[in-house]
Amino acid sequence: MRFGRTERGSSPGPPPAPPGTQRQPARWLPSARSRSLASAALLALVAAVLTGHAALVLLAAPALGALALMARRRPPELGIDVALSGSRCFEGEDVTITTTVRAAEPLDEVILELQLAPQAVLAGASPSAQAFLRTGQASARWVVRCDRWGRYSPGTVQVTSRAGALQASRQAELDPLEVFPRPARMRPRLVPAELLRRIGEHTGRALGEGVEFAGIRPYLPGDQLRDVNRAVSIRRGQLHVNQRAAARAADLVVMIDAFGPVDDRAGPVTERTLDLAVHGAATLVTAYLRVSDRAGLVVLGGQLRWLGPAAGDRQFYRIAEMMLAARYDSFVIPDVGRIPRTALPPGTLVVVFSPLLDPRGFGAIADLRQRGFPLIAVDTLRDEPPPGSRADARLALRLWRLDRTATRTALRALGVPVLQWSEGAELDSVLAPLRQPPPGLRRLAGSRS
Amino acid sequence: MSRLGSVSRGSFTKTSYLSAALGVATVAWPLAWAPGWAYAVASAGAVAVLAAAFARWRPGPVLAVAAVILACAFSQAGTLVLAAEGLLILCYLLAASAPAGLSRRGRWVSHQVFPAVAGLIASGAVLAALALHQVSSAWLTAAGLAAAAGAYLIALPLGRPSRRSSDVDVQ
Repeated sequence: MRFGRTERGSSPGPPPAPPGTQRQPARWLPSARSRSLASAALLALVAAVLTGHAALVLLAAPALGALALMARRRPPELGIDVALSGSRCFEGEDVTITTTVRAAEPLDEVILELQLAPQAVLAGASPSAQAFLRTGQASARWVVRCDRWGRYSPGTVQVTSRAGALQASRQAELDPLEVFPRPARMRPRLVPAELLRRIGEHTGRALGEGVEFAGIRPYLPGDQLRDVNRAVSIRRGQLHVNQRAAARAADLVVMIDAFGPVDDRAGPVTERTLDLAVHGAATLVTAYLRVSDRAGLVVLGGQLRWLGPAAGDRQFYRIAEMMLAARYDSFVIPDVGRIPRTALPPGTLVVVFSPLLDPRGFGAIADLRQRGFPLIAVDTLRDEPPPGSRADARLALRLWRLDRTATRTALRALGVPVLQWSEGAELDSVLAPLRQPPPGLRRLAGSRS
Repeated sequence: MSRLGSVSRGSFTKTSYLSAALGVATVAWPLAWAPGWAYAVASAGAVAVLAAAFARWRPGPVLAVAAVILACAFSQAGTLVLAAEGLLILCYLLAASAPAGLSRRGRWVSHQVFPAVAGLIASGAVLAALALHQVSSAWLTAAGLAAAAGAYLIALPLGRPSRRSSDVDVQ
């Protein structure tokens, strides 16, 4: 399968262009070499005329001789084929870009240069520019590593071909790649109190056919002999059997607070918070989908978008594709009440990744909590405003800190634990305090430590 | 002013060093017969040479050659010195236009023999002409100017788009 863009030269009887074909005339212009030689010769001759020093023609003569040797024939046709090895990858994975240039006649020089996007780096040993001499077909291959998630073109391929005194330069932009965030490893140990009836890998409160020990009771007719607890039966003088907890699946919905400026107006702090949220969401979704749980996504970014919980690898890619377009500029206040019941089933564990900066995000979290969903908020903001040297700047910073503390306190008052995702911490360790709730506090989730 | 190209330290190739060496030699050669102020012009030319070689500054080679011609125009150099300077200019311009990312430099150098030989023949022809008649006629200079302009226009068909066209098939 071939991806990318193909550029071909026109032929005497070109077939009708298929839909989506763009015609661009190739412009053959004087090459850099012929321009510099001609300019040098002209300068020397002008100097000879102005100074009346005829020997200065000697400076121009070699350049003119080389110019005269250059062929100014009709340039051959060019066919440029640019292909990517795939259209999807994860962060840090390699993608191969292959460019082939074909000409009807040999060209003097063909230079293929890859100009990478800022999110991609050259991974292979091939240099970014490769030159070929006196050839009718040139092919270059680059291995590129995409280090940033998103949907973007990894770069452009600049094709410069020289035939005699003329050269043509074309740029072919590579097709956009879908680079998914690479999820970190973690175990899905947080589960809601109400588990699904579906068989899964989480230990439920009900008795069932799982593997976790849940209790002992006297033997009843119909019990399996392998469940008999010999030690207790001998001690009590009566048959006793072990009881096991049911293994159930869970529903998880990850919510990303993507409010904020988009595109060029997004600063580094905004980008970092969204980056953290997307990586956290990818980590959680992967961990839960791996153990046959169902996972969904809600993006709060002006336009409310959601994806109902579902299981399987395909669901991960659907969620990842939605995350690639998480940022959406809008002034709309999202109404989480519009999310259908199938997309946010009752009792679903909801993990919100939010910098807690936009009041619309806070309102959505409070609304969900009041509707009875078990919620966990992960604060993705790691930066503070610069303190400044003036007294009023320091006062403003203190007020800002107080405001954030008030926001966190208000969320905790609603029963939403707010976890700070600090620098260098894994998401598993960020969520660890919720697996062992302090004594006296109501258990948020039915997880067992 | 043209922007300097962004190049990393690792992208300096042997061709860059060859181009820089030839450029500096071209700039320095006529200084022995040039007046004192020509050293300042030559320094500017050397800077242009280095910028062209290591920062891909496109106008660099032509500016360096302009500095050389200015120095030669007011120097006391003889015809043989100027002939050598003309060949140096040609070699420098050929080296400066070497494509980036050359993997087989030997093959590229062998391809430069033909323009160098053509330059040598042209230089020899002019030397022979100058040896026959020591001219300083205004008519000759005017004819030379017209020939130069004609050669420039023939070599540079600027703004004349080719009839060729290509299409872009998006698959």
